[in-house]
Amino acid sequence: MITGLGQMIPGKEPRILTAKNLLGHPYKPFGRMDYFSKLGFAGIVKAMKDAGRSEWQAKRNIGLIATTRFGCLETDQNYFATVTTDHGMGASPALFAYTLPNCFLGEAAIFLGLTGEGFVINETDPTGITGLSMAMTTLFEDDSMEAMVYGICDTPQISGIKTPKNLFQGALFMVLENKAPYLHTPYGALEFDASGTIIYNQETVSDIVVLAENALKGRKS
Amino acid sequence: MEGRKTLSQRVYITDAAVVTALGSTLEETWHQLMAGRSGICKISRFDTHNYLCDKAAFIQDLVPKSQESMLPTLVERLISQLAPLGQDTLLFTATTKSCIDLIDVPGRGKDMLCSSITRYISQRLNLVDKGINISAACASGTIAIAKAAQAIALGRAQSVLVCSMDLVSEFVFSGFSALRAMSPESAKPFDQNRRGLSLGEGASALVLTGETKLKTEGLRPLAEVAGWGIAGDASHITAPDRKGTGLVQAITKALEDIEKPKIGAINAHGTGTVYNDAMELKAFERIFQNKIPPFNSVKGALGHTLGAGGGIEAALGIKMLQHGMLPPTVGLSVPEPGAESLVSNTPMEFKGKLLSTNSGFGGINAALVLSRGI
Repeated sequence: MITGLGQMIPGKEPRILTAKNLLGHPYKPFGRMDYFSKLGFAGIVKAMKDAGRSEWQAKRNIGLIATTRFGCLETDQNYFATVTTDHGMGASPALFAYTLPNCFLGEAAIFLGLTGEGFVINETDPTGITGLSMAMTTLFEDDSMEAMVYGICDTPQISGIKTPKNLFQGALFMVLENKAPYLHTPYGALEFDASGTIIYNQETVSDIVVLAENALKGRKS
Repeated sequence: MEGRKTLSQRVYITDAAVVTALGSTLEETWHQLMAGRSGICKISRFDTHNYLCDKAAFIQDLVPKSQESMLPTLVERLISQLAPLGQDTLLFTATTKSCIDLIDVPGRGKDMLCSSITRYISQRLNLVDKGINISAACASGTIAIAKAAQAIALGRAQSVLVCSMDLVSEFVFSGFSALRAMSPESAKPFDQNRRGLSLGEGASALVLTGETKLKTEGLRPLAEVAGWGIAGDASHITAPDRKGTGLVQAITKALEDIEKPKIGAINAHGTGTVYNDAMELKAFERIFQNKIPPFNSVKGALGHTLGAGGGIEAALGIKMLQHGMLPPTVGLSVPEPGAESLVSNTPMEFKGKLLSTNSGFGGINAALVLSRGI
């Protein structure tokens, strides 16, 4: 079931993206992150807070999967500018560290103490459904997995790239659990039908953004 | 008891191909590797004057063309070796940086997306599935195999093609140089005097098939994917956990249904960096105590091929199991204390299953257990 939702939408957020705004206190690694990582990190933290799982004592077997279309391409461009400026002499190790799109999952895992599986998916048809299916499958397969955090993350504009109209811009994450011990009112239950199609409240799930909207509506009603 | 639920079918590798700096086929790469040869040499692809080293294991006849990426050419060499695939085959690719050699070509940003090379492969092979790419740094290939195996084992797929690939590019080369993770000379995995990694490039293709399809179509299993595990360190994004906590967890998951003494050898990640190799040794000690199986690293010969590494190593794992031999750890001369009798620069015999491990930035670790085909 979906036990937490968190989103970070650039332009819609009333406050700028700082650790103090997000966490209520300074967090040095946040300042080092590239914009893509900050967005994803914020989405994950918000979802875990919503699920009542942001506080921890011992590291937990919780996994993280994210779908992205453009990933850290903007950071790639920024990093390579530091390479070409001075024939490689000025290559920035700090930026290079974020030229892998899964690094923000590592940052979130460190902050939240999550030791489950973690990887990024690039879908050719970015609805987020393949990743959601993988997250659900892992929960189904492995009883020792406490929860899976799954979502999508993309930065709004990248130099030289035309962004598709239907692309979700920002970060949207959800916490999935087999049981809901931390929350009395989960958003709703996800399940596979016999053909492997994902069903939410008796309806086929074809897009993760629509799923999140429906989940929010369900809780309000 | 908590753990992995009963899986509905076994998972086999029924076709495999690689292209590496040591050879344009799996057979050729295997023979060169067993002969102790290295593909690491002076790189001519870009100016290395301002970097920590001037060497990498690159494919000599993969020549950059103006305005074009080398990756589709590499992929063509790879997929041309495969037997025809059913249209219902799913496609998982694994790459960290895809066509990153286009980064300085104006207007080609879209072609650098990882999904572009996935789509290219799907179209070239006339697959119905458009495919997905899995990106998890240097564990990408292993994780893609693990997720493919999971999908088949749970009956959600009958056949998955897993293609792993990455290039030696100035983008990546400059980055590892800036991080001071590259060895000035060729990498020396598990050597006391190791000084870092050597980069490499290559690609692998593995066709994973479920037991049902295998029997129905009378396919020959090259190896079985008998176990898999993925876990994070949650400690640092560019350095491994000193105690190997995430790797221990990944191996433990991979060994869930397998008795430890049945592991006859380990194909280690073995990058040749001080911290990675020490972490792996620590993890192996924690898992196997004083009964660590013999292990090796192919990265002194093939370089660190990043997202392709896990796939290439799994393909080589088929040969290791068929021959009951671990290839030499090229570059090794004085083994790390505690590993003296376990790692060698000459081939080593083994019996049993093969454990293969990879770790990557973001603190992610992955492990596979392969056993001989029936």
